[in-house]
Amino acid sequence: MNRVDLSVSIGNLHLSNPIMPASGTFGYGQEYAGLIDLNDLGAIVSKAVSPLPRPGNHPPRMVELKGALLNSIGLQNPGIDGFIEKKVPFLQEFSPPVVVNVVGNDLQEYLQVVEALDPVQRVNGFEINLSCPNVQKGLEFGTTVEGVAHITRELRAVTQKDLWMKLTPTVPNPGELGKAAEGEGADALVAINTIGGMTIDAEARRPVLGAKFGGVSGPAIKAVALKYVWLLYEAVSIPIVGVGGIFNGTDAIEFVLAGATAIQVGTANFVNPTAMPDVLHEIEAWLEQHGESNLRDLIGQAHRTQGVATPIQNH
Amino acid sequence: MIATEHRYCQENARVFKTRVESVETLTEDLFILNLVGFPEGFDPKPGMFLHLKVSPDEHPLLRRPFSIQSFRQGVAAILIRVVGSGSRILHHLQPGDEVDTLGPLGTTFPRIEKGDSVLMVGGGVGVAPLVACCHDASQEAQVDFCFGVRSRAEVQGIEGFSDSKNPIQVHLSSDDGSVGYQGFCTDIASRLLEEKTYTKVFTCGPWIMMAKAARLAQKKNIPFFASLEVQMGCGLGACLACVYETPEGDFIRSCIDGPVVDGHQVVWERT
Repeated sequence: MNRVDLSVSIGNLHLSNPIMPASGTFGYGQEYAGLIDLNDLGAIVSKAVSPLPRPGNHPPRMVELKGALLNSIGLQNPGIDGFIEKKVPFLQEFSPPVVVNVVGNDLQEYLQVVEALDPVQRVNGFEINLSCPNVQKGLEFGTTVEGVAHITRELRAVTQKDLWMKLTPTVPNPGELGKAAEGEGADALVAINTIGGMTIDAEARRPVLGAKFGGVSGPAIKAVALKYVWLLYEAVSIPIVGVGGIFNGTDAIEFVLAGATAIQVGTANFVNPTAMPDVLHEIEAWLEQHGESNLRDLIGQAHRTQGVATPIQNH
Repeated sequence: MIATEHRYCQENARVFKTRVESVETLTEDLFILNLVGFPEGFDPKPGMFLHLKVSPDEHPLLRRPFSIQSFRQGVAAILIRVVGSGSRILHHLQPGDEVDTLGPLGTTFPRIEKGDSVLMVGGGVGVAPLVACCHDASQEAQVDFCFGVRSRAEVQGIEGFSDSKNPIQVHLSSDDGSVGYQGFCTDIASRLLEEKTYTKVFTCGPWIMMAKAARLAQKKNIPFFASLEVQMGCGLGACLACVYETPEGDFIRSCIDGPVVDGHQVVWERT
């Protein structure tokens, strides 16, 4: 038995702990199954599924930056049929809830994926990618209050399963977007996706990535993600899943204190295949060290901490 | 083993800490990192690689992939050229330092069996997996190893290969003429292909060199195996960063469906 209670609820899903992979950093679980026990995860979030297979972008697809990665994978995936035939049977072997990340070129494609996977018993919920910088339409849906409300309403009408809306970081009004999703029946918000960026090879005098632009992830974006989670927590009552540069237990605790009910580990999976169980153990150790018995008590606590900030030093 | 269908996971991969036994400096930018402390049952095959986290810090963030040149008596020899921040850190490691290690990863070159006659074309650090193939080769096979270096000081790993009893014939070439033929190792390979019949061609090295080897193998219609190095993320097949393009327009992962692939199924020409 755990000495501390790490379980959390998101919508209708009960998670034994708050740790799950960020979509796209964990495949469909198979690649990591020899290195970690998938049953130790709070949930399994799949790589994106689009209606038809997507080949992905032309390489180079990933560049290392200072404390960050820039990627333009381009949502390479096997499509609905490939997911059902090749990935669902594997996922049957494990117990954590499965949340499928959904992507499409337009509203009809999002609906197509959700309608096709709604009857699949092993699929417990959907994470709607409203924000991938590698799909132009995703950004259009995700950057206006009307756009977020519209797609949430349409998807809510076709599934009773959990609906998580993954929001884009590149907006001035995250709280309003979050409220729009909540108002149309979203079960949770996921924040943030990668931040659009690029890098240029000065010698070759051209962009490094084959697709020119990509998404920035990793430790360098943690501060951006934390602020976004903080603003959402002030705006909505539904759970928030925090993601962005989480590499250790303290990072995860910071997101919980900012208002996240659960957290996703992304880029860290590429660096350390055991990052998720490691983060989980570190959260547990942190709670024990601080005399806490229940992670849920910490959700949003930083909003309520009294007093002024103390001076800090560089170290 | 060459993947005939895409693999789902790196079956024997583990994460563990190795220790630096020694760092052998060959030239100002080329060195051999000898690692010890591998777990029980660690048994890499020729062509497989290790994915090393060079620093616990957030920069460099990603692991770095390196072919295993040899694994004998528990010591893995890794041939490394200093080309950036990651390899520079590795060059400065001291005996006893710990290295966060993931492996063994990737596909392997086919074993060189009795009756095989293999032409190897290797350049720079690309000779490493080919040296591993030579250690593993049947004594009743023939190998011509075209071994390209910048200069004499880079010649390593081939001690004993050219003994008369040994089936490995090493053909050295260098950029500066300080050892062997002055010029490209592919020039020697081209000549050998005109003189002899081979059952397989293996290559690893700079892309331009491998592309030239590919044209030679294609011309003679010989089975051709290449070890590709494409910038990698996870090394596990999950991130889909390290893809190369096939003639059919598919993108194949070099970490798990490679690094050793059917070289005839690679688009070598780069625009």
